[in-house]
Amino acid sequence: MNSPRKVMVVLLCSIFSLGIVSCQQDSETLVPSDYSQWKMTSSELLNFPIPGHGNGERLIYMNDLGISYLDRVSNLESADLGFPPGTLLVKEIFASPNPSVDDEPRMITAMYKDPDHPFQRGGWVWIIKNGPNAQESYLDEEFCFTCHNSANQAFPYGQQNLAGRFQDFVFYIPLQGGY
Amino acid sequence: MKESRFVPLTTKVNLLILVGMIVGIGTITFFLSNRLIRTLDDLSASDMNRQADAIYAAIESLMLPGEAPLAQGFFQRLNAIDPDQQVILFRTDGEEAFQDNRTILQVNGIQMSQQFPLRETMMPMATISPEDPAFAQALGSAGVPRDVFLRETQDGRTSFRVLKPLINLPQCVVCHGADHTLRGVLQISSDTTSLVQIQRITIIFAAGGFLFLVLVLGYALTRSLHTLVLNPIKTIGEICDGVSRGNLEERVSIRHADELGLLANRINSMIEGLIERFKLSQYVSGSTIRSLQKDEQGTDVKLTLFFSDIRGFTKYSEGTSPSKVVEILNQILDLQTQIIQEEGGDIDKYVGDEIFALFEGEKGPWAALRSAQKIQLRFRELGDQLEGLGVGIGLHWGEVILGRIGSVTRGDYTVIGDRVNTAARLCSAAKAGTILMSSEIIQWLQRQKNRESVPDPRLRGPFSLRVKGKAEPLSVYVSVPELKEIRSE
Repeated sequence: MNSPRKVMVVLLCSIFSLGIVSCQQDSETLVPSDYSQWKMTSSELLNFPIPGHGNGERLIYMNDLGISYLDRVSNLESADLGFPPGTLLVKEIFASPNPSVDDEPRMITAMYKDPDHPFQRGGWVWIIKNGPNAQESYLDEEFCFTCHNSANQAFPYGQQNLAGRFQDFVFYIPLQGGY
Repeated sequence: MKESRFVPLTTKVNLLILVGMIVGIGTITFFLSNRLIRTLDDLSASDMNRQADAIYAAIESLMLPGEAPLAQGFFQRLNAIDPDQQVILFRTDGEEAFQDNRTILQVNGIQMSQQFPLRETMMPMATISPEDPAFAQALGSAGVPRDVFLRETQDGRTSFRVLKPLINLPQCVVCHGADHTLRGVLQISSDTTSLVQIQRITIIFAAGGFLFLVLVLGYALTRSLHTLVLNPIKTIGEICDGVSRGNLEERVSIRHADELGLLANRINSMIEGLIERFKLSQYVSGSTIRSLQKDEQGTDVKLTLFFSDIRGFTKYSEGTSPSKVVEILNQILDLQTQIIQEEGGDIDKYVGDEIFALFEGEKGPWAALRSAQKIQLRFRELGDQLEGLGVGIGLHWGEVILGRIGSVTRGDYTVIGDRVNTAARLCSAAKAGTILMSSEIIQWLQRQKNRESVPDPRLRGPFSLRVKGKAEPLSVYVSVPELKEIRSE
């Protein structure tokens, strides 16, 4: 085989390999299956109606990176917050305000801190899954971001953030160590 | 083979320029116009989106402190400022907000107070169908509520439309309740017909400019090519035509420092070479030139050998001025040369007052004899004009050696051999006005007479002639041409 043909074969193989790698990256999921082992962000029963999620009960988990960041923040009650890249919050939304232990959430939403991601809004990638086994999809519109921006101002439920500190788009900030 | 149709270079070049310009500049113009239109569209869209964001932020700011009437006034002001732009807030059921008391009643109900007074006058209410695809998409029919941007054309008018969902934010639920996600959809529509017209005018101007540019540049390029290329080529062609007709006086007067200038110099050099060769042929025998061209070495050839010599010239020159001697000599040599060349002979050399000429081919003896006869007749006609001088001519035929004879630095292409010496001896023996021929010439003439009609040269002989260097006497014939013999040919 002469040199130009060798080069062509190598190039084609490289392009093919890159394609495979790209496909693998695309199919990679951000929400791991064991997120329910993480700490929760609130001990409060979150089943009061809110726009966007209705009155179904909500369970919110934060990965260890986020929890350990909060552990390092002094004066956690009043400090402005900035979660490190890689922080992941997962919110299970159930259909019923009082679900049984066997019920599956009707929807899972997640926030993944990645300021360099092409779909990021406010430094977070906004993710939605229509059920535990459904495929993840990124939300590139303003809907989630616009509502969660209210977490950086005073809001009328839960912790309320009356001081209006910057909470980095997270409504419920757990105490150090989480729940 | 079928000949290609002649297409002038001018036509080809003009066609090439036009096609090049139309394709090149046309493509650029098309892409630029297209890009310009897209950019204008993008700018308009971007501007619309910015306006939508600004209006959205203004509504949020006005609504949060409960100043809905201010938001309504703000909308009215915006719509009054620019009639081509309309801002409307629709409720999720498609009715226009701020036109009745429905929302006020809901808010007062949630607040369980009469905080917001009811309006006394109802305003005309615009509506949008909930089935409107853009409206439905803004409400979240495709998953979640999202912004929608549209470019619409209807009845010759073009407009942009932005639909932006107004989210029931946490701060809003205090007045509006938490049982719904969206409070409505903000629609901003802008009539961009005038902008499209500007785009059309831009395209027309661009196309006009393109045509003008093609014409002007095409004309300029054509003129330049005519001056720089076509005219010089035409001039060179005309000079070459002249050379082919024998005109060696003209030169190509192109002084360009380019390929055409070099070509002109080559043509001029070629003409100079032709002139030199022409002049050379006046001084060098034809056999010499042919030998030079073929780079021949010595070779055996059969030729008719012609010698003529002026009788009594030495005595004449002793009593005559040198200039007159040269004049008469040249006149006699020129006279003979013209006749020899007319008959196809080739002057090999002049040796003083002697001419040595060669005649090639089968008809060589006859041509040589005719030359000799004509020369003798011409001398007789001119008589005193040539100071009474006459020539004796010797003719011989046979195989001789032709080749370059001489040193490395100087040589002549000529013939040598015994037959050359014999021909010279015949010439020496011929009296003025006579032609002395060898028996080989006569034998040739006899053979020719048997095959074709050859005039009788009126010979006398054979005579026996003893010459220096030959043990045996030669058999020779004498011809004294008469005027009537030649003219009857």
